[in-house]
This record gives sequence, C-alpha cells and structure tokens, in this order.
Amino acid sequence: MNNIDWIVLFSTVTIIVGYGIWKTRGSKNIEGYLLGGNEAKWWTVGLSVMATQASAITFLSTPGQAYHDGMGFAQFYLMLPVAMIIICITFIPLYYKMKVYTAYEFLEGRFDLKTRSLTSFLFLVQRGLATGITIYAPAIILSSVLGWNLKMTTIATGVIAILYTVSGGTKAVHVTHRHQMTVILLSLFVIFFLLINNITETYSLKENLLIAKANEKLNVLNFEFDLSERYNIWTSMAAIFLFLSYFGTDQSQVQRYISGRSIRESRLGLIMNGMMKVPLQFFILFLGVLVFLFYQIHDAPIFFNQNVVEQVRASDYQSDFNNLEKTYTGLLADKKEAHASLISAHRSGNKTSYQEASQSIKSIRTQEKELRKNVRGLIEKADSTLETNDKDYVFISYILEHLPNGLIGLLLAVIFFAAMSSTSSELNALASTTTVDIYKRIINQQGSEEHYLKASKMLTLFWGVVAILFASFAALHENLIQFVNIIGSIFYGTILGIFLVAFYIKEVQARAVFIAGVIAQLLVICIYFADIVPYLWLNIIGAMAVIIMAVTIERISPHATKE
Amino acid sequence: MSDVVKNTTDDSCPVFRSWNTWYILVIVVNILVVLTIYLYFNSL
Repeated sequence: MNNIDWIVLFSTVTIIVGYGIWKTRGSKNIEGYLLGGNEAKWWTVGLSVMATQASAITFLSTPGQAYHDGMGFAQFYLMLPVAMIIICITFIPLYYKMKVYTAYEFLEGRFDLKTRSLTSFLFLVQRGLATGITIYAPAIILSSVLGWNLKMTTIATGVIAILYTVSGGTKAVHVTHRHQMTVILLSLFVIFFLLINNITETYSLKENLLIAKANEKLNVLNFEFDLSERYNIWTSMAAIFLFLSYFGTDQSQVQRYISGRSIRESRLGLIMNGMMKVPLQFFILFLGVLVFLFYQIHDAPIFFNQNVVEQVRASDYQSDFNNLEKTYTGLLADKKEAHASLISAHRSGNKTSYQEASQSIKSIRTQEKELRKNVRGLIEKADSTLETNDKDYVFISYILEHLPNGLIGLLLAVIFFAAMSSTSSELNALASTTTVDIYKRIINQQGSEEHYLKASKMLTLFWGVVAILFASFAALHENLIQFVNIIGSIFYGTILGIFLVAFYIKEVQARAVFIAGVIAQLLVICIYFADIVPYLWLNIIGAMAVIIMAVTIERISPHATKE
Repeated sequence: MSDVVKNTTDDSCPVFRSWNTWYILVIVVNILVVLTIYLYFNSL
C-alpha cells in the first residue's frame, strides 16, 4: 500500500460521505429524519436493502469461504427471494396502512403497548450488540494485515458512519448507500476481469473451471438430506425463517423500505433485492473460486493470516511449522503437475487419463486438508488465543499482494463502505426504535417535532458511541462474531413469531401473544444453555413456540378474546 | 405531511397487470440462474 492507495482511499470515502452529508442536510422534522420524507425511489430502496445486508465481513469472508469449501454457501440464500415475496405481499401493505415509523409500532395497533415494548426491547438488545461487531470485525482484519492500530481503525469507521447518520438520518443513509453500492459493485467487476485475465495466461477459462471442479470448488447444490451439513438444499429451507425475521421485522431493514415513496416503490425495491441477491452471492463466491485458481499459479501460503504465522514461528513450534510448510510446498508442486495432467488429458480427449488425474487431485486435496488441520492444531498449541480460521484473510491477502496500487486503495474503500453501510443502517434503526417506541411513546409524549428530531439525533450519536466503545474497549476476540450471531438467533425467533401471529392469526389477541412471547423467549434461552440444537435452529424453535403457545393460550383462555 | 400520506398509498403495479407477475418473475429468474450455473458446472 503506497501514497496512491491512501489518496484513492481518502478521496473516495471523503467524496461519497461529504456528498451524503451535503445533499441531506437540514431535516426539519422527525418524519424527514427517520423516514427520509418518504422520498426514496425503488432503486434507492433496493440498493439500500442490499447495502445494509452486505457488511464488510460479506466481502472479506465469502470469497475465502469459496476458496476453502467451494460455492455451496450460495444455497443459504436460495429462499431469500421467497421471503422477499412474502414481505411484499403481507408486511409492506400493513406497515404502510398503519403509517408506522418502526416495525414494532405496528404491534401496538395490532396487540398492545407491552407487546410493542417487548419486541422493541429484544431488538435493541440484539442489534445494539451486533452494531459493535459490524465495526469491529473488519477493523481487526485490516489492522492485522496492514499493521494499523486496531482502536484507531475501529474509531475511524464508527465516527465516519456516525457523522453522516447523525447529520442526515435516513436520507443520508440512502444517499450514501446508493453510491457506496455502486463503487462496491464496480470494484468487484474490476477484480473479476483482472482475475480472469490473470488465470487465463496458462489455461483457458474452461480449463481453469475443470481444475476448480476437480478440486470440488464448483459444488453448487447439495441434495443429500443431512441435517449436520450446514449448507444443503434442505437446510436452506430453514433459512427462510431467518430472512423473514431479518428483512421483515428487523428495524435496520424495515426502515429501508418503509421510507420508500410509496408501497409500489418499496415493493419494487424488495423485488430488486429478490432478483439480485442470489446472482450477487454466486458472483462473490465465484470470485473466491477465481482467487483459488489464481493461487494455483502463484503459490498460496499454507496459512493466510501472516500475523499468526509469525507468532507461531516465534514460538517453540517453529521447527514443526517449518516441516509442515516443507511438506506443503511438495504438495503444491504435485498439485501443479496433476492439474497439468488433467488439462493435457482433457485436450487429448483421453477419459482414462482424465479420471486418473482427477483422482490424483482428490488425493492431494485430502492430504492438503489434513496438513491444514495440522497447521491449525499447531497454531492452537503455540497460543490458544490465536484465530485458527484464515478464511477472512484470503481475499484481503490477494488484494494487498497482487492488485496494482490505486486499486488496493479503492478496494480498501469498498471494505470501509461495506462496514459503514451496515453500521449506518443499524444506528439509524436503533435511534428510531429508541426515539419512537421508547422515548416518544413511554417517556415523553408531549414533545414538539423539533424536540423529537433533536432526540433522534442525540440517540443516533448515543448508539454510535456505544457501538464504538463496545468494539474498542471490551476484551473482544473473533469468537464474539459468533457470539453476536448466537444472540441474534436467540431473539429473532421470538420477534418473528410475534409478527407472524400478528399478520396471519387474527383470532390471537394481545394477552395470549405477550405471554407466549415471554415463555418462548425463556424456552429458547433454556434450549440454548442446554446445548440441544445448533444455534441457527433457535430461530425456528422461537417462532414456532410463539405461534403454538399463542394459539393454545387464546383457545383455552375464555376471557382473552374479549380484550 | 398530507402529500406524503397520499403518495405512500400508491400500490399500482408497473409494467405488468398484477404484482403476481412480478413475484413469478422473481422466482423464475432465480430458478433459471441457479439451474444454469448448476447444470453448466455439472456438464464440465
């Protein structure tokens, strides 16, 4: 990284953030600040929904996931379009009909104040924690590979996001999202063409794909019914609950589309997301496959996080590590030879030789996996606090070591934009929920428009500071990313269950759903601590528990329907 | 404020007669994308 990269990084961030602040200055009321004056067109809604979901970790981790495990992760998103359709049909018209600022406000109209307060509280807890991690996760990776100060990186990302979110509210979030997503998508296309150009110097694109296939990187769909497998067609069905909770009831997403110009613009925005998300996910994963192919020509390191490698080298396990590295270098040479045999067999049309080369690649791959497992074991022995998963470091290593200067700066801007775009939506949503559902509804109902506008800005700032403090000063390590996902899974199910009852089961009234919500939440927490199922299943369990219990309580309680 | 309320109720469907056509299109586009990629990679 040289001066050109710094100039590109600073100028890209400054121009887009500066434009966002300038363009959206001077909101005069809470509606303009929290709903952007309902001016967003469908493409703004669509890009904003996509930018909110795509955090920096999406761009850092996903190619690394494909590099190591192939493209199977795409299956996780297969049901997302169905969730978009359900939200378009049911959620959007109801949110607009009740003219809500937050998703939870709708629940007071349908049930009562305590149900609204319960769900907004659950949202604030889980999103409040997650926002800190949205800033922290990319900061730890960037500081590790670039040698930047971790706290300064965290504070810089957070402060910039706070600056434009406090200044312009939802409108600023939308304006910056639009430009950030444009830069992100264009940069990914540039990398795509550079990689294609690079890998086709030795073999054609099709021949490269044959190599990727022989290395099991192109396994897109897995039809085997195996619940222990994280990504297959069947487990992807369960993900619809997660998408409905996230897009339908999480204020950071709901706020993106209820600020659309009309129901029509909001629906089109979500339809755009439904059309683009799966292809985009394939595209990002395919970039990971291309990076894998690139590293078949330019030898890949045995472990991508060089910071960790240096610490192992400085430990008592240096000689063990060197031995593993020597074996790995031998394997790389064998693999190159096997790839050459595979392509030669393909060119000559010799099926037997082709099968033999495929088998040979498979065998080398098994040895490589075993070797990587040993490396991870060695890292753990050297220092049990070190991160043994290097998938987050694959793409950033490629960017820093193999992209031309200027482009490195642009790609770093992309990572910052991705972090900021998610953070700004989250801060915007946390401030809206605290202002509308807690402060305005419970604490102070007599304030003026100006007062609530000021309160919204102060609360955006408050949540921003909380997020930065959580990310900077708590004793965090990377397992906390998983911790936040667990927190999300614990609360999302209950929130979704309450919304599903509100939308689809008209007979259930306030008392039944509130009791069901509280019991279901306690049940989910107990199941989590009993460690009975993988945490992703807590979403479904929470939602189903609320629905079943709410209906049961409503039916056995003779007074409930009279409320 | 009242102008905004009027605008937000517009749920007219652009291009097609009904929103259902859009929803079917979303599903069809996704099925086509996934199947094309899956079948192409399998055919290699």
